[in-house]
Amino acid sequence: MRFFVSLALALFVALAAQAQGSTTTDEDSGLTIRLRPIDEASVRIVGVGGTRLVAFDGRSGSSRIVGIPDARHGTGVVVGPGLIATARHVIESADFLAVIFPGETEPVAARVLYVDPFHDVAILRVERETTTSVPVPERAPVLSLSQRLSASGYPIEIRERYPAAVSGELSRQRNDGRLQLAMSVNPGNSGGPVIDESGRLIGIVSARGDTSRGVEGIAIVEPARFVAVALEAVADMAPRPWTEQERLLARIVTALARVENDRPSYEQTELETIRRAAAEVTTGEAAMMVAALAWNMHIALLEARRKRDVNQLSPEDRSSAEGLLEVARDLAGRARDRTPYLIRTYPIMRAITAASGQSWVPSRE
Amino acid sequence: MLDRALARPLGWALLGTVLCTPLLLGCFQQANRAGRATPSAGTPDWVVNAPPSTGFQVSMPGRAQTETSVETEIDGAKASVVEGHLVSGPMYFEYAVRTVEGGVAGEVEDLREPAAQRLSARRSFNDVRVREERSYRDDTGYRVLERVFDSQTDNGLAFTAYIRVYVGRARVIRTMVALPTANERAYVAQTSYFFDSVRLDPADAASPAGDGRYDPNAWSWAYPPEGGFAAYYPGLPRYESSTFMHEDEERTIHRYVVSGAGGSPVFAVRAIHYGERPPDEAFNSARGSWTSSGWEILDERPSQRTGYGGLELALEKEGRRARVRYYVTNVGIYEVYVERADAPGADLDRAERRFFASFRML
Repeated sequence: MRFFVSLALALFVALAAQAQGSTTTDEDSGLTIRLRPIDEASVRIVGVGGTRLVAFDGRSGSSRIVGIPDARHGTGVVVGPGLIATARHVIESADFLAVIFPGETEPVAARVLYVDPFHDVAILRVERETTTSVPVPERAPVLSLSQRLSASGYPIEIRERYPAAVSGELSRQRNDGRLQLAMSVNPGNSGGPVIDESGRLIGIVSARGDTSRGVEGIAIVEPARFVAVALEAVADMAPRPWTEQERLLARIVTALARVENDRPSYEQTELETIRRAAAEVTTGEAAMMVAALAWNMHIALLEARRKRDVNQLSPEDRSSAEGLLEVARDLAGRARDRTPYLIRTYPIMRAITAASGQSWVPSRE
Repeated sequence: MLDRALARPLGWALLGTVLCTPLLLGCFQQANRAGRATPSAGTPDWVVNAPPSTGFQVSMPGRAQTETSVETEIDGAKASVVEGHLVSGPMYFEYAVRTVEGGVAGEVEDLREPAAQRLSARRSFNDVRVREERSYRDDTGYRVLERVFDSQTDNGLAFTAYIRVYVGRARVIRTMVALPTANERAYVAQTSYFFDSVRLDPADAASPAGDGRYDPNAWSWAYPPEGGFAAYYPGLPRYESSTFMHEDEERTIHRYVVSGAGGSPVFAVRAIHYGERPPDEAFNSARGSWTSSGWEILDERPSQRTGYGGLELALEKEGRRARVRYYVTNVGIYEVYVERADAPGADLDRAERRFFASFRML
């Protein structure tokens, strides 16, 4: 009898914990924070649509060039099996996208299914059997001015594994139909869900006040109705099989976007991804994405070892560096021949294909 | 009031092609008008300067003193540079042809600053200020950046410099005339003649300037800087432009088209630039341009490309059919379409798919 009571109690606690959502615990402080269902459904979205050139003086005294991605990161919310709603402007111009679920570090491949040309709303499909999703109300709710609302998202720092919550009030409905909230949102919050006190989806974050003009503390939200319309539009779209290229590019996009102060870091774990992706790419954009990461890793390895060129590296590092350079040159050369327009959006293409080595002294006028 | 780009930019986004404002440089205009009216005024002794292997030539009042050099671009690419300069009376003439290994990379508008920096770097010019500027596509398909600078020499003499930079796919050509500001009017014909005499290599034009003839055996990439897109065409597209008024400002429509004999088939891209996100009615007016000319819409569905939303229409009219895709960006609207006879044709089907699949907004 005692055994059954204990079992029932344990089961009750487990179920209660599940109902209350998952938690995050910091090992040092012992602090445990419970995630709301909306937080569990909030995902990070990373997109890359090109690279720009950045030159810097390397540690060994060499001039270095790297390709820093024209990347965006924002937030999305799971609204159905494998379906993510986000703001259109989060994904505009992105050649490739990746989605990272809360608490995770591994990116998941994502495709654009639908983009609303009139509203700041888009729907993605991800290669993931999603277990948590936020229901999208079919009818627009009745709201009150000054009503308390809350948002979930990944502001400012792409590396943070868990979403951040922020609360505010409904200020008004704007002339264009969007909602204005008294809520402080930041870059990265775009596309994130806004809910009311009972957890109903009210809309997704679209814009904030222009701080350069002194406008702060306001958030503009696209009403959930447009998410419902978007979901209707994709309802009949049958899923296509995912390709290995898409899976690998999700990793490439995330690795490429993971730059700090315009300096890529050397991640040995990405070498295998780069090698595999190089064998899978089928488009010029994909080739340039992998080429840019391979090039950046090559430079990052030299910088990490404080060496001017590959000849000064240890045999093992030298093999890695030369392999990366070979991959970069091969892919950039193929992209240049097949899709020459990419020299506009991936100017690193010229650096890779035309440059004579790993370091040089610029003599630009 | 609102910062639409709330998604955190992880890097400075290379802006989409910055559209030229219809700002006419008064001085260039004045010079050009005068030059066309009296091209030989004060120019009988001018000679053609044509540095070898550049595809460039310009007339100057004498043989320019030339220098050649090899420079290294910031990314390590080699650039061979041919420069020529000549002093004639109060006027200083200069050209520089820069041929870059691997081609001109990045947005051509970024080349504005190097031009200004170069002028500032000349010790004879101080306090360099831009008086006027504009950028446009010229008749040969080159992107042109024009600037008029006012400056002062070390001894306080006011100088004016006219700089015109032509951007091709592999070459950047800079031409310049500088003269005392007090002499500007007196030497307007010479200034004009210098710029009007410039000839460029058509094969290096950044933007297509073809005959627009449909040729399924001669596919070519077009990625015109002023168009802000890339597409793979069956032939070398012909360029057309027109303007319209939007909120009291003149806006430009760029059209790049190839067409077969008798006007069929047609492969075209229209880039309608607003300089800002177009109003929702832009779709209706673009669509209306088809229906008002007798086309019937058979199907309409959402479309998207690299995250930009749009619509796809299927239309028909008197034995012809058309497929049109619209995409909206933060600077305008793109209309990509194929129009052809409503008859089976596997080759044309393939060409149509290839054309649509190639389209990218840059």
